[in-house]
Parts: sequence; structure tokens; C-alpha cells
Amino acid sequence: MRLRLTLLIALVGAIASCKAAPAQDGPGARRAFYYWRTTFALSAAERTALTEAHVTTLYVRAFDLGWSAIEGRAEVLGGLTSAEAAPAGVDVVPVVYIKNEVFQKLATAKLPELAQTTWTGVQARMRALGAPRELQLDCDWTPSTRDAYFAFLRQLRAVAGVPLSATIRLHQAKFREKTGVPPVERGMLMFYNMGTFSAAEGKRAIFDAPTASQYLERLPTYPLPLDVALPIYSWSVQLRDDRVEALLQAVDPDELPKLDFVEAAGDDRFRVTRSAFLHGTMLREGDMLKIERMGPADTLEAAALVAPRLPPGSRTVSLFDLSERNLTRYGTDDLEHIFGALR
Amino acid sequence: MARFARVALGASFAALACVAILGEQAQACGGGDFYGITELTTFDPKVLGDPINDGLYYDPFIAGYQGACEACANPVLADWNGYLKGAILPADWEKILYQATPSELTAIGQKLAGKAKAAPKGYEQSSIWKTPAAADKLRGAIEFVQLAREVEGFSSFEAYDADGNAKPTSAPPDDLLATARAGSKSKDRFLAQRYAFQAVRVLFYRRDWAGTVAFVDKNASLLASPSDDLAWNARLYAAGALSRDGKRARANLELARIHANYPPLSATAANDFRPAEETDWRASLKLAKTAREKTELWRLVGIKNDGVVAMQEILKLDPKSPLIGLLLVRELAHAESRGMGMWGEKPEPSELEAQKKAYATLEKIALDQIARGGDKPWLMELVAGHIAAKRGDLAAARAHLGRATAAKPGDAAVASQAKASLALALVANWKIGPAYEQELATTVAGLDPSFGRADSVRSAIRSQLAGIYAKAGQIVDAEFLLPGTVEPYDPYSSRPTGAKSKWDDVGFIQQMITRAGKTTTPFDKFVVGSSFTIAGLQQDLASRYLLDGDFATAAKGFAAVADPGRLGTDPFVMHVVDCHDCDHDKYANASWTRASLAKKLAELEKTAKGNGEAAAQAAMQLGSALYNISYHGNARTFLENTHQVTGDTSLALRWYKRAYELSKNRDFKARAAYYAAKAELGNLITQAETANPDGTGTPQPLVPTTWFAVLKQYNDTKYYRQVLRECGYFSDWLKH
Repeated sequence: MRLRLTLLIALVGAIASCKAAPAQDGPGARRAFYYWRTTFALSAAERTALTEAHVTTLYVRAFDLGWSAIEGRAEVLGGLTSAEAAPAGVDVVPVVYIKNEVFQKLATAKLPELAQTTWTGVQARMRALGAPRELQLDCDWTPSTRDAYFAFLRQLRAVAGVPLSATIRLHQAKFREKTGVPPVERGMLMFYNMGTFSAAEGKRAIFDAPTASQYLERLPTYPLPLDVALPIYSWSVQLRDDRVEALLQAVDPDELPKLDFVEAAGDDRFRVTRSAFLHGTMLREGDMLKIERMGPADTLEAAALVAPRLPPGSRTVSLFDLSERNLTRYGTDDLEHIFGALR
Repeated sequence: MARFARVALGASFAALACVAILGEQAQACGGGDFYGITELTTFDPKVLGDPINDGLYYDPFIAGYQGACEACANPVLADWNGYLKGAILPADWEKILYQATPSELTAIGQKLAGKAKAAPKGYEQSSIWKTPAAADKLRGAIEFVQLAREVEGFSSFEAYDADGNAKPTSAPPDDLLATARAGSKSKDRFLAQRYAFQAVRVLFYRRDWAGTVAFVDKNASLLASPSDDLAWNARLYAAGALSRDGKRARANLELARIHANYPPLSATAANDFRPAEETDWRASLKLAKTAREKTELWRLVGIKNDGVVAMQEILKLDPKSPLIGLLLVRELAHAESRGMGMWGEKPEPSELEAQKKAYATLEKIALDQIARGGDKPWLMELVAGHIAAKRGDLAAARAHLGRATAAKPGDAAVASQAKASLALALVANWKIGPAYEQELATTVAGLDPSFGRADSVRSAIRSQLAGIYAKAGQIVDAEFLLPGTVEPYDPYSSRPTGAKSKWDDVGFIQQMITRAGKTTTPFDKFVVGSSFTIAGLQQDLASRYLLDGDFATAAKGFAAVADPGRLGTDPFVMHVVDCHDCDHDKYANASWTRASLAKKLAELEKTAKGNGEAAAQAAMQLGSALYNISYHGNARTFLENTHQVTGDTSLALRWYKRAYELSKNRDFKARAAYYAAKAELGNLITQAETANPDGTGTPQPLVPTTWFAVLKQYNDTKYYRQVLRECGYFSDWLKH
């Protein structure tokens, strides 16, 4: 039987309440992109977009940390394999994604070692991109892992000696008493992936305004300075028998009309006419491919929704993610409008 | 290829972030135990009986296919031991092969060549010196090991070690390749094959993809024997080179051949097999020389991508193909675990609908195979019987399962699976009464101890029966069949979801004790064979008596259980501010047990029912002990491992009130009032917990206003001043 921490918190101290603050006038937010490929090599179009949109920061995935059941230890998975120099005037912030199971399984005594190897690994992988001046951690921690994750963050901060930021999911912002607030300098609110995948027409897991609205009420009082990440990506969802079979991240919706084993079956979907492989996934005859696509208007809607609910202060706005595929739908003016909508 | 290259585990940021909202589901589980495929399915794929890597069975919770493989004992040592038989003892060679340093290898070689007299340290007694006639052969072996060690130093493309540290990489030099090539021309077939294999490795780690493939193709017969292991590993390198060279079609075909024909590498080949686009895949099929090779390709598709499509394609190519069995049991596990998460989430209705369709598809494949006389008819009967059982078709299940066991007499795995499936069919058609009960108990008792799904089958049966017996009003049986049936618990708080617990009822606990002792029939034994013990239930009962205020009966009950476990604390200690852990540290060796505490409470009650200061003192002690055994206090160990854990401090509050009323000492009264306030607050917390079980509401400060107000009247006492100093909560309340 556990005594609920929420209530203990209620007993030992009053929680300050603040009024919602509208987006402030003043200098614009710092502009950023996430860069999520394993080789850091920008195309000409990507460089142009960075320059024209006045982007000053790139959040670059350094590597992931997972749990090796065989070795009984945390292990580095994937991540950056090579990198060219970052464009002039662009700061690079490494991002380390840590699977929650690491903190479910790793002994507390091993946390300092993990902090040390994480920082060593980041430095090794980011060498070509310059010494990190900030490090971002991405972990979908839960109440059961928060103590371990937060202890790890404290160790990492001591080891790295640079400011830490942590991704904050919407539920973590809303249920902060239960999930806790990470001991870092800043949070990066992930304002996307906010619904379950659905076969229903018009339902979109990437961004759904009604769902998002359910998580915004307490955002203004979140006790960390908050940056915000907005989506500009798209993907396809494989449906079978009116239920979701798989998420096809690699499938660009724009390529579907060109395939000879699918046919259009509505505004947002295609039917598979014969079983075939597509980017490593076997599609079965009769499957449907549902398109979920963000466009400039959608991202602007997301920006407008979250802007008045963000805690006051300067911030970074980052778009997920930088790729030629996404830039085909987002021109310079679109990016300008989106970045301009958040200060 | 996983063997050669970093697997791009790029579950991308976006995909992983998908749990941004879904993550809320995980919270509800509180990080407890999770289910694996063996808990979620009731058909044991090992009935197949094939020499197959365990990792190839369906398991959605494990990435990749690496598992245990009985046929995969270290073939390298076996090869060498065969080659060097009579020349050196196996243990001595193993030491040289895996542990000898480069300088030791050189020294051993020199002594074997007669160029040195002394053996290197640690090898003086080795049997390598015992057979002079074998010296040349051994020297040749040592020279090869030296080369292999050198090649090994280059055998990785990893730019980072497991800790993420950058590490230097370089290509094997020309002289290594030359040595390997020269060695491959040896007249000694054993060494020639091994040198040729090292040449393959050198070419591969030089990133000479075309050269690797060309060498393997050109030296196919040299690489083919005498070691099967080397032969197939050489082909695996060739597949890796083809893949890296962008020749996915042939790479996938090679991997399919390896997977189908060499069990020790079947899982590795499955990991590396990666058809990407339809054009590549069609090209792979075109490259396949025979129908068998095409079916081998499809089988890997079945493992990696879509088992149903693969089975259909295989059967078009070869209606009697032996490659169907694994895919069928994989798809059966896939269907059975459909929509069930590792945290025990129940499937959505749409998943159940999809499951029905999947069962129907698999049943049709099995029945068609039976009709056309396909491979492993007994397996088809077993699968058809299992699906019929899951559907609740007892007659069809009996018929299919009977034919399966008749076709495989003496096969314990098949017999157990048939019994398990029959048991599930019985439960799906359950009628409460001796006939079904007897057959079920006998059937389940007959499961072989090695049967890999015994636990999940028992669990599924108990769970379903618990629902049936609960619905029929036989709640004691239901609770035995599935603890928690009569008392659903919130998985997050571990507290009953209902306001009134069955376990608060002395009568119910007594019925449980009575039922635990009834083991007349096999079904009785099956029902009571759960985690409940008579001693545990008696402890529950005694605890219940105590919480009901019947200390004397509780004391007798605890004495009968004879539980020697200490509480590890002093249950009478109270502070202004509670400190559970401090008390456990300080009073860790206190002699209090459940029995001694209950006895003491019975004695105190007699005194407390009197009058005067002595009665007040006794009442105060009663209140403190009762407060402390609740989960707000320092002795909650008292109720651990029972169903009586409680946050209700009403009984404690009653005794504190009596202490307050009996005493005429103002300082004592202030203390009693404050303790009563703590008990009042405990109840407020408990009530808030019950009203807001998910803990997501905005927390409101809870204040024991009744007894704080009483305490306020004693502001002239020493104890009042102590509370004011130590309890900020009280001082805040005074200010407001």
C-alpha cells in the first residue's frame, strides 16, 4: 500500500497559482529545427532554409540509450555516425533519447556511471559539430522511473557542466505532481504526437487540436522555462480490417500515387491492390494506407493554440524535423509565419 | 547485417514520442511486473519439435530473433577437436585457441619447431608437447591461430564501443590477405578451408564487397567443407557484402538459404534479411533456382513481415512444404496475443474482431492442409483443435485434439498441448457441476511439467472460472480461483476500488479458511491451489478482529498463527511530526510481534475502560498503536501481506478522544488533542484518496479542523508550544 505522493505534496505545501500569461511582445523566439538523421550532412535546400528562416539552433540526435537484456546494462543504440561541420552561426544541441526501461532496470548505484558514459559518448559523437553548450535529454519517464531519471539528470548535470534541457510531454506537464518536474534548466514541450493512431477519417495522431486543448490549462504554471517543439512532418498509417496495423514513418504520402500496387480510396487514403513491399513493410492486399500530413496551416494552428498558454519568458521554438521531404511543403514564408507566431 | 554492422535501431524521435499521450497508460501500471509472450498465449510453439532457434518463435516484445538453440553448440571447438584428435587434449587446445597471448603463441610455435627449449609459462604441462609426431600438425595449427587473431583485430566496423566512446578503426593490411590466400592453397583440407575463410573476412573488413563475393563464389567448393559452420559463415559474409554493395536481391536470397539450411545461423540470417522494395523482392524470387528456394524466401518473409501471406505463397509453390509449421505457430501466437499489452492491457473490441478473423484464416489453412495431406497433419489438427477450443466449440476441439495425439503417440509436448487446449474448451463451455469439474481437474493435472504454457493455461482457466463462479454467487471459490475477484484492486494505489471490502467481513474470511481445508476432489485441490494459505488467512482474520476492536479474539488468533515475525519498530511511539523510517531505524530490534501487540492491546483495553489518569494513559496508548498500524503510522508492517491494510484511523481517533476526555491534566489533554488531530487528518487523506483515485485533481490542503480547534484551547501548555514549534502545518492554520 502506498501513500500517494500527490497528497503528501498537498499536505506539505501550497501550490502557487499563477494567471495565464499571453505571449509577450519583445524579441522573437530563438528559431531551431530538430535534425534526426544518423549522418549530419545538410543538403543545399536545408542550408538555404536555415539561412532564410534565421535559424540559430539545431537539436541533433546524438544517440539513443536502451537496455541490453543480455548484458544487463544500458547500451548505446544507433545515433550519429558521421558529421560535417555545422553551418556558421548555428549552435548544435545534442539530444540523447533514453528508453524508459533503462530506468526501470538500472541499479541506482549505476546511475553515476551512466551519466559519465552518456556525456563521454555525446562528446565523442559531436566532436565535428563543436563542444556542446547545452544537452537535451528525451525520456518518456513515468512515476515509477522518475526518481531514477531525475537522479541521473542531477548526476549528468554535475558531469557535463553544461545546462540541461529535457523534453516534456503534454501529460507530464499536466500531471506534474504525479510525474514530477525534471531537475534541468529548461523543458522542451513536445507539442505533437498527441493522440492514438486511428483508422477514422480526419483523425490525426500528429496534431489534434481538441486533444491538445485538454492538456493546456495548467501549462502557464509549469515550473520550468519552456521551449516548444512543433511538428512539420508527415507519415502514413497502415490499416487492416479498420484497425491500425503499423505506422509507416518512412513512407512519404506524396509517393503513394506513383505506386502500381495502390489505388486512391478517398481523400486521405489508398487501398493496396496486391501484396507488396514498400520501404521494408509488407503491405497485404486489401490494406489501407492512411495519410497523416502536417501542412503550414496545421503547424500555425498548433502554434496559435499553444502560444498563449506558454509560461512567460524567452524561449526557443523548434520544428520537427529538418528534411528536404518536409521542406517541400514548408516554404520560407511559411516558416517565417510559424516562427513569428511564438515569441 | 546485424553481425557486421550497427543495426540502425533508429526508432526515431517522432515514433518514440508517440507515447507522449499513450504514456499515461503506462503510469497506471506503476512500473510493476509485465507480461511476456509466454503469459499471453496458451499454445506452446515448441510442440513443433524442430531443431529450431527459440528466438524464431513469435515474440512482439523482443527485437530481433536471437534465442537459445540446442543445435548451436560451439562448432569451432568441435571442428578443432576432431582435427587435432590424439595430438592434444581438448582443454589444452581450448586454452591456446582462446587465451594464449601473441607472444605465447609465438613461443609455442618456436618450441614445436625445435627452435626453443622452454615452454612458455603456464604451458609447461600442456599435452601439446606429449606427441612429437604431431608437432608439425600442431605448428601449422598454431600458425593459423596467429593469423586468425590478427584478422580478429580488424573485425569490426564499429566506430564506437558499447559505452559510446570513439575507437580507432583501420582496414586489414595486404600481408594478412596474402597470408590467408596462400594458406588456402594448403594440401591440408582442414587448414585450407580455414585460411580461405580468413581471406573472406579480410576482404570483407577491407570493405571490398565485390572482392568478398567473388572470392566466396570462386572458392565455393574449398569453403564448403569439411566444416559446415565455416561454409555457412562464409556465405553469411558474402550476404553481408552483397547487402552493403546495394545488391539486396541476392543478399536476401543468400540469407534465406542460410536461414533454412543451417540452424545455428538461422536467427542471424533472419535478423539480417530485409526486403525493402517490391522490385528487390521480385528480383530475389527470380534469382531463386528452385521452388524450394522460393519457399525459403517466403518463409523468412513470414517470420519478418507477414506470416499469412507467406504461408499462402509457400503453399502455392509446394502444398506439402515443411516450412509451414513454424509460420503457423507464430501466427497463432500473434493472433492469440492480439491487442494484449505487456502491462496486461485488455484488447480493444476492434482487436478482438481482428483476432477472430485471424483465427478463421489460420483454421482454414490448417484444415486445408489436413484435407490435402500436407506436412505435419498432427500439428494442423492440434492448431485446428486449439482454435476450436478458443472459439468454444468443444466437440470440434475434442475431435481435432484426439486425432493430433493419436498421430503422435508418446509425444509429451503434443499430449500436453492437447490437454491444455481441451481444458480451455471445457471452460469456454462451462457448466458448474461434478462432470466438468472432474474432467477439467484431471486434464490440467496431466500437463507435463516441461509444458511451456502450463502457467498461462492455468491462469486463463482460473481467470475465466473465477468470473463464472462469482456470477453464480460462489464468491469464495471465485476468490480462490483468482485472488482479487471479489475485491477488485486499483492497480496504481493497490487499494480496493469498492467502498466496502469483502475482506472487512469476518464471516467471509472464515468461509475462506473453511474452503482452504476442503480438498476432497481433484477439482477442490485445483480450486484451493492458489496463493492463499490457511495460516495467511488466519492472520487476515486476526487482523480483522483487531481492526474491529475485538482485541481479545485478535490476540487468540495471532497466538494460534504462531507468526514469530517482528514488527521492526515500536508501535507506541508518537511524534509531533511522524517519521516512519526513523522509528524503524531506532527501534529495529524492538521485540513487538503481531501476537504480543494484540495481547497488549487487549490488556490496555481493560484498563482504558476504567476511569482516571491510568485509564487515560491506556486509552492514549491504544490510540497510538491503532494509528501506527494504519498506513499513516510507523508500524504498518503489522498489516502487511494481509487484505487489512487500511488508512482508516477512526478507531485510533475514538481512543484518543477517550484519553482526552478521561484526563484532567491539561498538558496531557493537549497531547491527546493533537494526536486526535493526526488521526483526523489521516482519515481526511484516506477519504481524499478514495474520492480521487487517479490522483490527478488539483490537490487541496487538508486540515483537521475539529481537533486543531480543540488543541487551540490549550495554548498555555508546554506540549502546545512544542507543537507550535515543530508543526508548521498547525502554525499556518492558526495564522489563517
